Amino acid sequence: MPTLLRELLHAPAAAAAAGVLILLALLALAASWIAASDPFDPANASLIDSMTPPAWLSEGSMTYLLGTDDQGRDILSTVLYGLRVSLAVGATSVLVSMTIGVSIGLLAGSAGGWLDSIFMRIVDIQLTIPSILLALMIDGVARVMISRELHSEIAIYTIILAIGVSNWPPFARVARSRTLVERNKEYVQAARIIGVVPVRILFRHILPNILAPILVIATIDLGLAILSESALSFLGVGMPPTQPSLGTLIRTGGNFLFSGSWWIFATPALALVLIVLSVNVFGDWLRDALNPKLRKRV
Amino acid sequence: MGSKMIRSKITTSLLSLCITASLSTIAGAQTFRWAPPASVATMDPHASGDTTTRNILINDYEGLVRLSRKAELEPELAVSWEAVEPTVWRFKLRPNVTFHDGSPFTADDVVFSFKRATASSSDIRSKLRAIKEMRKVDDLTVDAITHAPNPILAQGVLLFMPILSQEWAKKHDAMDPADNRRTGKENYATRNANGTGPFKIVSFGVDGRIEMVPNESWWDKKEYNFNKVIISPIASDATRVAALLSGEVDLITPIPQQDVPRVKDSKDFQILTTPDARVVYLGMDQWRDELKESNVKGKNPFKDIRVRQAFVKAINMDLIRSKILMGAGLPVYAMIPPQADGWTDAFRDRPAADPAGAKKLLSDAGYPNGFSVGMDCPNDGLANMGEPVCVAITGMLARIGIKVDVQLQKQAMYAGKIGRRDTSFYIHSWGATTLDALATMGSTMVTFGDGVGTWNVGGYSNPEFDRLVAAAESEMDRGKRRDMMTKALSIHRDDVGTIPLYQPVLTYAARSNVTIVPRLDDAIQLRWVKFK
Amino acid sequence: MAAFIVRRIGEGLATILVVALIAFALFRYVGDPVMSIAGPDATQSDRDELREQLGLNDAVPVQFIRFVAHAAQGDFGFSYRSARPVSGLLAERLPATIELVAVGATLSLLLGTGLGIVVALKRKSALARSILTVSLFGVCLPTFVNGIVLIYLFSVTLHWLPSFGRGEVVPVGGWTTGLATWSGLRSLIMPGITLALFQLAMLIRLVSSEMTDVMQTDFIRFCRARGLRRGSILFRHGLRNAMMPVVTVVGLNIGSVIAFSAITETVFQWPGMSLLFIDSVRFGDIPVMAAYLVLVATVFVLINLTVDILYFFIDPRLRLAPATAAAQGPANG
Repeated sequence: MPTLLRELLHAPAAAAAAGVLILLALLALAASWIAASDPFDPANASLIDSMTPPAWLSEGSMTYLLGTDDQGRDILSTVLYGLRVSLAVGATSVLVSMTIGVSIGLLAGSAGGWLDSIFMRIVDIQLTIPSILLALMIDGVARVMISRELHSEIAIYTIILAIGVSNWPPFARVARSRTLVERNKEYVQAARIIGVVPVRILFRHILPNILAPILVIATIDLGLAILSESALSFLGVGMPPTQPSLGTLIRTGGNFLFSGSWWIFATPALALVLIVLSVNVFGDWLRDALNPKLRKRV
Repeated sequence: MGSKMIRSKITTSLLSLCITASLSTIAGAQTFRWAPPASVATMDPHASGDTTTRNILINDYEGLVRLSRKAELEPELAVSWEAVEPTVWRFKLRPNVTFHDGSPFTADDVVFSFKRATASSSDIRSKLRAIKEMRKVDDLTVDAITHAPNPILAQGVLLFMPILSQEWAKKHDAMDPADNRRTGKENYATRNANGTGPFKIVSFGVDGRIEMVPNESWWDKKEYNFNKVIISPIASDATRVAALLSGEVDLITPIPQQDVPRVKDSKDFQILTTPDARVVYLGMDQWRDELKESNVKGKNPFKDIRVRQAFVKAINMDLIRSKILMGAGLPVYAMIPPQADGWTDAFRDRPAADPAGAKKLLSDAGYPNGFSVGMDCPNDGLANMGEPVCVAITGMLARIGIKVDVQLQKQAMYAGKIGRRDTSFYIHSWGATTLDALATMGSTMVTFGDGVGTWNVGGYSNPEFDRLVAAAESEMDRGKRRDMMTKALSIHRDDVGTIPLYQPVLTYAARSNVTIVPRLDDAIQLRWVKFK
Repeated sequence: MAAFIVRRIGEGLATILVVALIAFALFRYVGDPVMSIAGPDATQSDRDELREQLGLNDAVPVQFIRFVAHAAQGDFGFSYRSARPVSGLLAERLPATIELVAVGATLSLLLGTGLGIVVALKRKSALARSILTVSLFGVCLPTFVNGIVLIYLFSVTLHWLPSFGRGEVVPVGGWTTGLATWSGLRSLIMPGITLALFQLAMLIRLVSSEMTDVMQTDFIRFCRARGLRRGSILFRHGLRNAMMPVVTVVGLNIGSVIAFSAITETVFQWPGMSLLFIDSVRFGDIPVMAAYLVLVATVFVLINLTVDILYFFIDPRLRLAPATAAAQGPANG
């Protein structure tokens, strides 16, 4: 790991991306201290000040540095809180998808036979149903099972589960196809011959070698997961509108995209672009750094 | 030489570009292009109760009566009508009218259309429930026999009965609206239209695109000046606005409120508005002994009038109208719009917003710290204003300690939930389509039972109110009837049976070279459209 | 080979059946059609009658079996909204969606492969970096924003392209195509690009990462050592080996491309099946939703089958895989 860190410092773009990510994560964590007001408390919305432009414009006010939205919520505070929701939902649901997908892919790829068939058919079924609809169903079931008073409190967990469970197939497919290739390679055959336990082969030898494409998918998936959340809220099952995420803010801001009140849309969109960009730049670098073949050369 | 040629080529192509651009404007004088948000569900006017469908087909199919530019009742296929007995209305029909296929219009077609519109496969039969039967007197006279005396039969009921040709229906085996859901058969009328109206539908595309041409033998005076109509539905708000701005259509209905200022500022475009004949309101469950979605157990806070009054005082409607609705909402504090019979100007007065007073009322009612309650909102309904209005109300109620858990849902889910009365607190709207208070009261305010108070989801019940409504229903004197309705509405207001919020404004945008008359039922009468 | 295909077809049918079941369970959470059909004036008894007519009072398994029995004969019932046969509604809108998805997928595959190779060959260059960065914008912003920005740029500001619809279409047999007319082609450009954008970033990365990997293998080194031409190594050997995961991903992504086409079709008012589906979700039109999902499932199963067969040709090593997998399965399981 220390070598990896040293390598990172030699890649300015990746280091900057990592820096931005850490900064955004810190901002999100510290949102409740930095933000001027708690935008998730509806009582803090000041409707009379709605659509105030950012402070540097002629009608702006220093009270609202980045302006306010149509409900009179401070954009800066809302975006900080939204960042927290989005990062939490995005990162956790990608972890959920990755864990499920990679485990199934590894197992299917190495076991083969009927187990492989069953797993891959499940993948087919899941891929056939648009993930948004699947998430909708998971949310529907959760609504029926969980009492209504708790609904807004557990909304975020339902969403993580819904997005996580609906996005695992790409991981499984790629993990499986890579496992199929790796398992026939000399080093695996060699390990098998000298009697290494199958589970150990799977996790010690095959897993590290298939990580590169998995990371590629994970980085893209983080952005998609954050956007899926906004699509869910579009269907009425995402985060409640009183606790908006970045995706929700972009969606509602989209209505004002061409009406002159661009800041309602631009600020959350910029935050999202920053996240996805840095994750990907960092991911690209990580992929190269972890690629054993490239490393050998270095 | 070569460069000259190239230059002339460029000039020619630029020129042709300009010509194409100007040609489209010239063509615009010949073709009127309109983009509504949705297309018709079917061409059969009896097979769908959908308003969009009605408001498009109204240009092909006519009824016995119609609304004027000022939304007053005027003759259409009937020339006059009178009550010959309390339960019998007699209609004199317009002579020398023919359907688009050339068949003549007679009393038989009216009787036939009534039968067809009340057949079991008709989706508009509930609108005609007041009529027992229609009887032919002679070729140009029909009687409508009602179950009970009905002073507003013409406007309340017959506005919604499109007339089809019996001969045409017989010829094409379309005697009943296609009962696709049961028999699985669509019939000729599903995709072909044959009315008596000013325009003939000539094509109905896969994409919902409708083309109409003028009916040259129409009975009324022509005011429009184009010879083709293209209706292309565009569901997405932003795309619809783009289609107008790029010159691909002449009219869009509606335009989202936030885009109004930009379009208004351009001299190439105009904004058209009309009050919508409906009222948006909040409903509260006042009949369950315990709310389904609340932290108050064992009792229902909405049963206490002080809680309902506190909600009224907590909500600052002036602020919501100016900041959220941006002018697309007019002040009302009653369940009917000013255009409906039964209205009095006092119905505009709303108790002033007073959070402190609201908090006191809540304390008096035993909820000094407020309570929590779920709220049902459509995120694609109420002209897309459902979401922002609900969120704003949530903020205002939060200041008096009420924690609202807003549940935003798609229209289909929301309508189902409200319709099943599976709600504690909800936003809803009701249109006074007949421009008469009684229909609204009968649906949304009288004590619910079979066939009455179907949309009284909050379960408001007051015997005095019910008595007044029953009395007004069979009162033939319009003045007395109006007083009864006004009195009943005042009782409901004093009881805070619901919390009326605002009257929506319908907002359209069009190119400035065309005159359009918006009407409060959201219908575009193509016969009033004129290029300048 | 034949046995393999027969087995996969059987599995495909099972997949479709399960999708139908899930679709069915799903609709209970999507909306209540009775309210939408009956309209606000209907009384409680009207609604009850309608509910009975639609068979909504029957037990869910009964409804499901009825649905499958009819669907097997190509009968998906009748749309609650338009009262027309669902199979007809979908069939007349199928060409629009197929053409859009085909154009979108082709664009993303061509651009993705091309740019991916550039990135792989010039890993550290500014060009590669800017390709990687710019391509991300397609993923960063929601599809509806990408579409609307294109419309405002090319329709409203420049007046180059139509903002909505499919343009002029030409009937060819039972099909309608927009590919044969100038206005049809113009109408395809923006929706096609919008649809291609969302997976472009992923494809570029996947192609470049696979290419980089493949170019490092002993196999390619051997080719180089034998003195094969650079172009030949790159395309005949390198690309061919790198394409396997790419084909996998493109194949398995068709489902989400169709799902994403729903948003694209909404933004551009593209008269395809997905727009019909979105409308039916709004209206609670269960027969249309169910038929759409089953249709998408069928398309997906077919594509998957094709991908599996392509595997055989692209990566010769896999031809042995099923046999070896069967032999070694128990040892690893």
